Amino acid sequence: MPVEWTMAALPDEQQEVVAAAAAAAAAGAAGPPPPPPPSPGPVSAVFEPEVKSEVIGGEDTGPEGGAEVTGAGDKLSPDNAPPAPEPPDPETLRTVLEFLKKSNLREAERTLLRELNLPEGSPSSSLGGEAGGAPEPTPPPPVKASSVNAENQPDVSAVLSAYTQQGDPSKYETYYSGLKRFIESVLDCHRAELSQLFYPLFVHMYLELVYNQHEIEAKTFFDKFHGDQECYYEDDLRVLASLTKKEHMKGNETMLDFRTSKFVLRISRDSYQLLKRHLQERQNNQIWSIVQEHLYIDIFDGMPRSKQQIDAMVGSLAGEAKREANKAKVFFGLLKEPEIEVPLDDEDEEGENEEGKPKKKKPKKDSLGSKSKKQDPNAPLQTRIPLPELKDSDKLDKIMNMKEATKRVRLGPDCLPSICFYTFLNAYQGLTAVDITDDSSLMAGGFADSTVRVWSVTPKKLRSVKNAQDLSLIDKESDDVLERIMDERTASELKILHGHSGPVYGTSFSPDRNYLLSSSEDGTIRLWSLQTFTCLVGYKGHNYPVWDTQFSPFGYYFISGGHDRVARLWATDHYQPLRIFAGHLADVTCTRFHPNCNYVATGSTDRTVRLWDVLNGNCVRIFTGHKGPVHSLAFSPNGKFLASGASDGRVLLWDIGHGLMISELKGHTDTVYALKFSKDGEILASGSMDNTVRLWDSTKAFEDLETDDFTTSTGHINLLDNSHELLLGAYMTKSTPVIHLHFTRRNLLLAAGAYSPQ
Amino acid sequence: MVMRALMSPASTIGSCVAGAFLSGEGAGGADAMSEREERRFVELPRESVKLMAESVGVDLADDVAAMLAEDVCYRLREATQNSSQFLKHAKRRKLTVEDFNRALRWSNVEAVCGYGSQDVLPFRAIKDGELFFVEDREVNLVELALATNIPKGCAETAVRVHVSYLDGKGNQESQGTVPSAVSVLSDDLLKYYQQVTRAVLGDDPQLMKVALQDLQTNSKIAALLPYFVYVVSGVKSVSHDLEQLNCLLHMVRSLVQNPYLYLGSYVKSLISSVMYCALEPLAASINPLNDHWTLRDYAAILLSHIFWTHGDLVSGLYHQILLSLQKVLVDPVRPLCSHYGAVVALHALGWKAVECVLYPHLATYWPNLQTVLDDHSVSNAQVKADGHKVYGAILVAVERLLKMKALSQHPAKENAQLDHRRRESSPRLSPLQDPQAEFGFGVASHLLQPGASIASDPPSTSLREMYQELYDFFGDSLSMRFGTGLGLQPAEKSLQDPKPPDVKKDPGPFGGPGGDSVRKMPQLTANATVSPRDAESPKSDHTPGRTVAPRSTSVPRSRSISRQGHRGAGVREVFQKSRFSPRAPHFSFVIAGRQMGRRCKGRVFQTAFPQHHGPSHVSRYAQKLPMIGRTSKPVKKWTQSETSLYLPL
Repeated sequence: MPVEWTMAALPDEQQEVVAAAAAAAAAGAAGPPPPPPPSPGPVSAVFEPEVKSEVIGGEDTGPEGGAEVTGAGDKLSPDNAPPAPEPPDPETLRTVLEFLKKSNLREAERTLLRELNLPEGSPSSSLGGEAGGAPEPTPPPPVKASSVNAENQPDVSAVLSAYTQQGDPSKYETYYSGLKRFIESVLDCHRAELSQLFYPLFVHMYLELVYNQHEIEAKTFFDKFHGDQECYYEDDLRVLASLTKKEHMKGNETMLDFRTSKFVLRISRDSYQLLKRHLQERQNNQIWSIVQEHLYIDIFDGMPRSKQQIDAMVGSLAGEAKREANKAKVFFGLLKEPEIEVPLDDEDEEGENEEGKPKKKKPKKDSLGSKSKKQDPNAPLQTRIPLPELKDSDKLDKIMNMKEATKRVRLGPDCLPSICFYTFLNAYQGLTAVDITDDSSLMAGGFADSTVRVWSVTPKKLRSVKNAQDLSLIDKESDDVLERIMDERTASELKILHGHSGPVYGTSFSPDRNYLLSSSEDGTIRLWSLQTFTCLVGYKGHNYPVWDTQFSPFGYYFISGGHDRVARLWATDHYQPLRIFAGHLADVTCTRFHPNCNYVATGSTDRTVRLWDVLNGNCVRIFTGHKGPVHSLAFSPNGKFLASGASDGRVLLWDIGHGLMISELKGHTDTVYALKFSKDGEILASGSMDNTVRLWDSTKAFEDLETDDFTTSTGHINLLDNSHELLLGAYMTKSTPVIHLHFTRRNLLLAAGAYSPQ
Repeated sequence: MVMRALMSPASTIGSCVAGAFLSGEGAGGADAMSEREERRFVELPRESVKLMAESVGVDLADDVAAMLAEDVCYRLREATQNSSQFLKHAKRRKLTVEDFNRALRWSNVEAVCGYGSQDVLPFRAIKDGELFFVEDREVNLVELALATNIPKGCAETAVRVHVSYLDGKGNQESQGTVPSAVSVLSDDLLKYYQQVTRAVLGDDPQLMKVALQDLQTNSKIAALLPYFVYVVSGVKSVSHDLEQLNCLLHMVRSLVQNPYLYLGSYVKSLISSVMYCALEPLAASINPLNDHWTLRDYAAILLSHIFWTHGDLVSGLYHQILLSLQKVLVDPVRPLCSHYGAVVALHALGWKAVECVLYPHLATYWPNLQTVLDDHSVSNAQVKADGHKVYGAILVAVERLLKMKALSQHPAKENAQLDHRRRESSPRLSPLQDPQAEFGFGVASHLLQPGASIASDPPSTSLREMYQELYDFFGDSLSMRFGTGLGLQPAEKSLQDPKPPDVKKDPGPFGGPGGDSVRKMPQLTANATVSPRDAESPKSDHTPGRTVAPRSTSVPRSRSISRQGHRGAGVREVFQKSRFSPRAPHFSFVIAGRQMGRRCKGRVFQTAFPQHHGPSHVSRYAQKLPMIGRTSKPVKKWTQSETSLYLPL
């Protein structure tokens, strides 16, 4: 732990430090197999970024142009807190300090105190009361159920202590029903807004009752009022219902989420005044204190929102996103394409002579030229995130890509893509993840039996490189040396990669098709070579199941997210993550890179989608509106839009620049596990557990977008209920859930899934 | 060595509760919206906790137990909620034990082992006490390890690609779903169905051929299967039209041979249709000019084909078929053509079937047939001709039986025949495991006496004995010849066998050339006389309740006594009356045996001679009988084996 602190403070010495930290981590990992909850690994991982943000906030100077990747990466300050220079959350600090003290990490404690300009000795007491609107503390990693360690968690008791205030337990029902009567009696325009209060109040009142050990009252309270709550809180209510004892609260994640993160409500000033007046008149202190302490009411001026407007945005674990959370500028434009001299006149003519040469050249030049000349005003600086240099093979691939692009089918409502379905047969072990390379030549499947299988979906067989001895015999000067190094004897259609010790939940090919990533339940991410078909690196850090991983569109970086509620940014040549994106209140289920590689999007079980800045680790967008865990994400090719699919079967479209929801696509009846935009972004394809692929008219959805200033400033959206107009087609599979979708370079839609007869 | 899955009682009960909880949870999730009020969690009674505490030697106070019970319930709920994460990420719909165990593991709780099976665990209750338990059968590992039918591993995971929708167009309906009879067919399928049925039942043979061929290879007609099965079941309404019956049988054949069709329970329906053709007194058979015999032959072959290829789809099918064949055979009211159908069907099903059903029944059946054959009146001519048919069919069947039996008892050298035999004997392994469970024996219980039952083990008659008995019936019509061990055996028999005159005569034919024949067939002789081992003898060795006498020379005697016991004296009378009173010493006009030459490697040979002697009473029938279609085949094969005919004369 002290080592990591030093690392933050002294970036120059990182090399040795990393080594030392690795040793420390290894020592930690070598302990008893499943480390007890307050193990140094995950805790440090979570606390690290935010504390750093306090410690070195403002140090961030951005990368130095053209620096080599590693160096620049080191310079990037892993600052994860919101940009506003607010005072540190005392509660968090107190918790951190207590933890450090308890873990006997004196040096770290001293350093922290020094940074805070606080005297050593009694830190906790000197940290005063709560600061309103402070950044929320990150919850600790999932606290495990075993009650043995429950007593040893200072943070938990601190968190719970707020509930100790005693009210008359029998009055709770009266309070709640009184408020209910009031809300039902107010004017219609306010009722919808104030109704948002029901759920958080209900939960907090119930938890208070439970905490104060009024079991019977808690039960009757729950039975009486849980039916009033919105149906999308069903899952949380079920968790809540099972919680009937004070002892159980200590280990319950959902409970902690409620306490540690304030439930955010957006209410117009009028409605808020109404509520305030009512509560003060009635002397309803119980409810008022809950509103004060546990809720964050984001008050706006203007018209109250309608029921539809509210319903579209609520549903997440911790309420809506605050308005300022989505105000940061996002450079969503694409990076300038590197100039590549396209050998225009070599193969094309031989292939297709019927089209005139000049005709063919022109559009190509245009498309190239337009891309390279016009700098997208919304694009980040080319060097904002250091990217690996293009290799010759990458350039070749880009050329191939462009050639293919000229033959691309222009899709639209009248020209739908053909769909090829890759069916996994006999996948009794359970297919859990699929990825297809961009050129559609390889397909990888992650299986529940912890294997990764790579298929060649072209006639070209998969071959591995010869062993060292045979390689030494090869004439290295020969022209076909690349062909000669391959061992013909190993040619096969399928290669099986063994290494994980748990189901493989995510796979991703590197853009150059040399590597494959896989993330698994065993808590590791593995990097496989597709030249030798062996494992190169195991990236450890998540310590809990890793649900998803993806290579950046430029390779080298990759992102992963897992059960420990954080997403991590890695580089293939670092065995420690470069960034930790903490903030989600539940598992990070899916992770995607923005096409310009400057941002990553994560979807979570807390029913939110977040967008993170890779440069500084900030959360720049929080999208709420999903009513179930988010299981799929897709960026539009132009980088402006994001699509997310959830277990409630709905797909939501987001405008990244404005931070607004654009559209709600209803149609699927089960979890949407796959989303993909066509190569030009005209069509969005979604695949689901309900055995269908649906095609949506994304062009129309984006055109309908009304971006008047009012909407932008208030964040109030008016969604048209036009799913049926946007739906271009629903295609049944043969009893096969769709778990991956891919558009080839010519816009042929590939879908994949395992046949699962009912 | 018998092993039990060891498990601590606590974990067992824990997992039971977990399992019960899982199911409850699943149901709750489905209709949570509608039944919010119904939200209920499984609760562990404090008695269970106390019980478990006692089992590990801890005495718990009531209040402690109650607290613990509540806590355990909560932990279970928590683990279940966590396990749903693993379910969602595995992209499945069904929560597995594995998911739950993962949740336990990540909560630092030991996983519960032993419940990974895909199958549902049978949950039993004891009537007296209110005790429920998961049935935990003992597994005989030795048997498992030494089992010869090693289960095939599941097929390799593979990826197949197909263009589902071209330019966004295509069949938008759900494909490949299980069709129900009420499902609406798409226009294409309906058209296909009409065309095919019309072609198959139509007049154009060329069209029919094409249609049948397509039925056999088309991969997309799963939805039409019930319709075709229904068409086939129409055999009952066209029993006057041999052509149509034939066509329908062809249709069955095509359906059965289509590798893309999963027949499932439709097998039963198909089999009943086919058996109808084989066994029923069809309207078409009233006219003697109609060749319904061929139809029955074809149906019999088809029956066995369906059984061999799809018999595993319906458990107890073999037994069921045998029972219905037996029923037909023992029914004297049924016409001879029905009996013929039963016999050819048994024959087609393999020699085991013949041994199980036909052979034990032969003794009772014979007199009836004898009567028919002996009646020379003109009015009987037609029936008598039918009788000859039956006679021929039985003869062919028992000859095959003898031959296979001989092979099976004998360390067979011919690999081909060995394979054949294995194929023949295999069905009894799978479908017949629990015949009693499938059928109430109310109707057929009288058939299930030791000798005549179709129990899992065939009556273990020795080859020699069987041969002798069959020889009693058929005499020299039997184209098989076995030396029965002249030197020792006849003498012994004459001492032991209670049937004095005629049986002793049986080995007579070998008396003359006996010395030679013995020399020529040393292997057969030796094996027939010394302990004839049943093919399944190792199995029958440890089946209790079935008398397994040491196979010594005394066996024939005891068996024949027992058989005589339940056969009844009356039957015996008939036999003696009908049997060869003026028996001429018939030297064989058919010679069969085993070539002992170096190159021939013990091939069975046989040769037939024109008859020189006055025909014996029995063999007279044999000459008059026309050879029946298929049955001529083996004979031809044998006669073609030209080499080294041994002439005894």
